[in-house]
Amino acid sequence: MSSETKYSVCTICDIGCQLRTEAEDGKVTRVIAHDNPMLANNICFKGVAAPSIHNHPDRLRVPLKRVGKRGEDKWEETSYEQAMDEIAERLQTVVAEYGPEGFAVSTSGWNTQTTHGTDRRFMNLLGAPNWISGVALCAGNTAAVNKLTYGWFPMGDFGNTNCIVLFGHNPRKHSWTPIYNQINAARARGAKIIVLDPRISDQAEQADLHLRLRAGTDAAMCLGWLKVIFDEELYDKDFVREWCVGFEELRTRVDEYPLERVEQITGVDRKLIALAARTYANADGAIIPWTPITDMQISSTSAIRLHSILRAVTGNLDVVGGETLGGFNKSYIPESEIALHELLPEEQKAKQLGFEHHPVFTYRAAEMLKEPTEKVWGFPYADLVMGCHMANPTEVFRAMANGDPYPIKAFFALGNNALMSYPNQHQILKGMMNQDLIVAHELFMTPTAMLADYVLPGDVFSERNHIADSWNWSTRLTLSQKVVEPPEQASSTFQFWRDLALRFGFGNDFPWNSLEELLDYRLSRSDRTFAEFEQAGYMEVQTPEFRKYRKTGFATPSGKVELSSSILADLGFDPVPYYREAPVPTDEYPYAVFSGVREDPFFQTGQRNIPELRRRCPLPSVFIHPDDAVKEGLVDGDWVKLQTAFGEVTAELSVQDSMKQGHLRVPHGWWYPELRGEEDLAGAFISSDAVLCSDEDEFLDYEQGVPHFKGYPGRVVKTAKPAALDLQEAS
Amino acid sequence: MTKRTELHQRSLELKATVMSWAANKLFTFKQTGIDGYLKRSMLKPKRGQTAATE
Repeated sequence: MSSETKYSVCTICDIGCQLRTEAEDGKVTRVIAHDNPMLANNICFKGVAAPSIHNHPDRLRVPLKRVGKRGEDKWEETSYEQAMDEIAERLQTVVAEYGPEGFAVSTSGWNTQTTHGTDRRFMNLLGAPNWISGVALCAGNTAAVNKLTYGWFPMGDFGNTNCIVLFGHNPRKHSWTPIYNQINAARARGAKIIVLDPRISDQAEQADLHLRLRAGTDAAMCLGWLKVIFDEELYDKDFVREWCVGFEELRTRVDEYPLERVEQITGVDRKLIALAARTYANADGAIIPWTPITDMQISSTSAIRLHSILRAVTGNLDVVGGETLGGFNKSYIPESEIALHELLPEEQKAKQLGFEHHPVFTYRAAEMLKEPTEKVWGFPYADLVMGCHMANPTEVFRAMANGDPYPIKAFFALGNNALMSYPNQHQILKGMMNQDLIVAHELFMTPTAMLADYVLPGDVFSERNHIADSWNWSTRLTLSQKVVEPPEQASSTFQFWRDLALRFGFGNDFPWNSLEELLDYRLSRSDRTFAEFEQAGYMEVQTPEFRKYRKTGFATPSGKVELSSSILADLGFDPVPYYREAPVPTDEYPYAVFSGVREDPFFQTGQRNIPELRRRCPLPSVFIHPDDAVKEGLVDGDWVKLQTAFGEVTAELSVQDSMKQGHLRVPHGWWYPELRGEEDLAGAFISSDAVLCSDEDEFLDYEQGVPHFKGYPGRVVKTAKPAALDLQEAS
Repeated sequence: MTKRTELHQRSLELKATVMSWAANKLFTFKQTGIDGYLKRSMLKPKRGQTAATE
């Protein structure tokens, strides 16, 4: 019997914990904590369950080709080479008829890990601009918006900070585990924790200050904080004078938000707002870490910009204990370079969906940042957390469904359950049913894969070599080693794009025959190979540099922190942040619904088929405050429909004291793998929150076009447990 | 606000840089030199546990 243990970077969620994986006789047997004591606590029960995922009997092992109607879930097995030949031929047909813009790709780099920008490289060589990802709603869009203000996406210096502000973010032992551990360490050092969350979340329970703001009002809250900070002169006047532009315009806007108004909008007592603002501003080193909550609001661009502005004016930008602008890791060629964005012709960039109406994370804004980005960071395009130069997902699905403004007829989803990952699931389904070619690259047969023409089996972290760089969010490099071979014909997304590129005649631009050769290339500037990196260690931490702007300026058109954004002004938007009220609850839909909340056992739409994780959360729950439950005549454990004007979710009711009155919470991404073959698309329309929120303009942030997932009108009514779930339980 | 004297700022930056350098050297499992030796000494595999591949 042969056994070995190797270092891994977990990809079961997006946080990338460093772990170790044990294997015996070519099979993963156990995932355990890291042997570095500083990393040993970074493990959750999803990571521990990795062997069940990697060895799952339902894992896809050979390529499948559709033989029934689209979505009927009938397949025949085919060889990888045959599938790739047919995919290439059919994609060429679509491109010939509709142009390269008629081809769209949706992917989740967290899941696939090893794409290394080769998807964008292929698309740019082809002339195809319509690449989308879940990062359009989560972290990637935050990165793009941060760049408007100071040209990079900062990382909080948790190790030295004295104050942490969590806007709805709720890291826990089993979700965002490393951040949870860093918060605990900071708290133990005496750092203050401020939580802004309608719920009494886990973090709120332990916070120094908890502001229970109304969902979706983050921008108004930040304007209130700035009002206090400016009025009480708690800002760094020297930094603002030397390194910021647009202060007067910002101040004028902030003056429109006296605390009385902010109290009225947010529902938080003005004294508490002022206390929180003072606590943040007076801390010697404070951070506002990225949050998935602010990413998905109708004033998201303004709210993210306000976080950026708070960092800057309080002197917390690129300093110890504040938030640092890391730049590219100098010893690892970035995806930004591999992607060859400069080869995509201008006229194709202009066809990217979103370019006209919601351009902030599209090529349109990227082109405006190109020159300063190259001057400061060395490359014209900075792909940060993959969330820059993206198409707008809503516009892509509209084009797929209606051919407006032009048809999209080929759609690839890699490691991405696209059907359930963006707003307006009904439109996404319509768009997918209207395709000439759909390819899915997946571990399991998801509802999205069920709609495909070809399903290719993907690999997992124990089956591939990798060096993770947090998609340029940090400058740390971490090693993930191959422990076992992938099953049968399963392979990486790198292999997929490379093999497709060869069939399109792009072989000269894809000279790498294996992942290891690509990793050798990415390490070549530090004059070493992957084998040498692997031999030397499991992690490299680049020595930090602070206040780099003193040498280079900021990567913005002015070279300064743009409190009033010249890019937003040039794009025709308000250059100064503002608050916009979302559609308010009505008599018919009296609650503010917030969706997208994580359940510990799952990441996004995954893992419902893993028994030990599913047992921890067998069914989806809608949360409600006890007084609201009484008002609706409902009790804990009732089955309910959460309804909006656009769709409904069926789930079990959970009455929670921690909920804010007037709010309903719905979990993200529920489907029922066990119902495959019994319910259409394995119950993808029973409990999925993606049907609830509209993607009409009324519900979209202006600048990015992201949906308002945090506080849209809804109601809750009693219903019976879905028969399919009853039957499933009985069996 | 986070407004420090230049001296204070520089001393914090120096400390952060040194700590980062030390963490990188001591805790990244190098094969050669004192760092790898220290780490292997500190983290001897427990009974029944397989050592990480080096």
